[in-house]
Amino acid sequence: MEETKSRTISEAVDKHADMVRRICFLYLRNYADVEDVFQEVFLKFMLYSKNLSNENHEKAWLCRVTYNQCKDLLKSTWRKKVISIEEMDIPYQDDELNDFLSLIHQLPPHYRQVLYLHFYEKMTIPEIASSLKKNTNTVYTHLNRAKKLLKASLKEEYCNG
Amino acid sequence: MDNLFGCLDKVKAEETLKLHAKEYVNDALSNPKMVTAANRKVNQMKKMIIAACAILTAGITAIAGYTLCETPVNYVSLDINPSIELGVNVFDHVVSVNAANQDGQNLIDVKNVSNLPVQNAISELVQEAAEQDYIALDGSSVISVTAESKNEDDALKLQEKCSNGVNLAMSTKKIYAAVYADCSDLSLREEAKGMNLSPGKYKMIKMLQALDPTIKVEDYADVKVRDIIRKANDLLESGTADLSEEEKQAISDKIKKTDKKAQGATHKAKQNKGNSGKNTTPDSTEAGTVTTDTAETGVETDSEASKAQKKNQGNGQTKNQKKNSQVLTQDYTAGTTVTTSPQTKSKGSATNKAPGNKGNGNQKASGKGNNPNK
Repeated sequence: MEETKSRTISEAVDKHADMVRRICFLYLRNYADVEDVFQEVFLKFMLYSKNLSNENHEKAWLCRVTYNQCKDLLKSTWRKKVISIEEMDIPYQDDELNDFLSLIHQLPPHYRQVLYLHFYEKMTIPEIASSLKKNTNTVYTHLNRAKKLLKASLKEEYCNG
Repeated sequence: MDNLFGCLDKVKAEETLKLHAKEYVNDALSNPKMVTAANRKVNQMKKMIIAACAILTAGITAIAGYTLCETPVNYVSLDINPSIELGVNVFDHVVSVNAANQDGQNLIDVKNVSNLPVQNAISELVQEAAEQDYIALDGSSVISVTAESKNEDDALKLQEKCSNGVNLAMSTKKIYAAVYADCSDLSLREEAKGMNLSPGKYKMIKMLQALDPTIKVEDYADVKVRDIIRKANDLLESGTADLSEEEKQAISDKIKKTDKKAQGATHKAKQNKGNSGKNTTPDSTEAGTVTTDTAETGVETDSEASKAQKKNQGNGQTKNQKKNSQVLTQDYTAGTTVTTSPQTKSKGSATNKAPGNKGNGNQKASGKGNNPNK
């Protein structure tokens, strides 16, 4: 029994670690926080009693749980009092990633999530709506607004740069 | 946009991160306490929601309860000449005390009756009024209590309690006065408030106006209740009132009987004065010349205070005592009046009921009643 569990967690981590890490990357700048969320997400995954029918379902479930976990961490009272995300701006070694982060962090968190799922995970709007338990039209609206904001930011950066 | 997000390919989970996660999850799964702790987080949230709901419910209940206790639903107007209005909550406890005139203010400045049961509050106020000489020693005063409620039954119950309160005070203080107990709808209170009068007095003045339309409310604002009753009686006797026979009869019943009671109380006060000159103290319960008629209300108002007095005043005092009912009660609709007949009651001996509506409280118990120190 112990062996089966070990193999399952090992498989799950190997399969989805990058995706979970990317979502954490969108929201968290502190490696310790990333590690906390990472571990909690996979623990929840292992404790989840219901069957996840297929790989897509599994992926969507993990996306949702990771997003919620990041959100919970950011909104915790303790964290609000002790740390400010802006103050913890630890730069990555890659310039492209740093530029992307400076852009994406100007957007509200729920816009980041929609953009990531649509443009990186290539999920359709109905799939995103189902995964985030939101109305399809709401997702459309969020996506359009996020794109407009992102374009405006890019334009500003281009003009200034 | 795809190019922009393409840089995310560079974000990979570090090997240490994966390793730590695997170790953590394996440890957690092999340790039941950690698993429970993980599940407990979800349960904690549920518990917090339930606790929040419980606190909210308790808060709402507390606020509702406080409002229920502190909001006056019925009112009692006490007029001697100090005019006082008491706000009474659903439990018949006094929650607000307002004076309708300066004399009333003097009275409530000295006596705080808040949070007392209405019966005790009325009793305390009447006693205080007696101490401050607002009630004439010759028994000519009229004490008017008017219960105001939206509900007819409540008004009648409150009226009865108020009458009992006056009786208690009169028997305790050994004072004589006629009691005019009445009840009315709350709408009258609003009208009276507009005229800066207590509802009880306002109702009496309106009655006076019915007899003589030339009378102005302002002229009688500071007049004593006793004088209003006398004026009404005079008007009735002069026969100038332009009213139908039924209306006349209704008002006549109310006024004349109260006036007679006032006269009866005066007579009794004089008699009492004479008796005391002869070194015979008055009957302690007789001092409370006004009691509710037990035949009518089924409530006997022989107070503890009067019982105590009986014990303490053995000198020239009778054991078999009587009660003289002089309460005039009026229907909620003010259409008909019910006058309680003066009733003589003696303990341990036969109960003698006085006839009709004389109401002068002169009925005595059997000869045994006058036997002192029995």
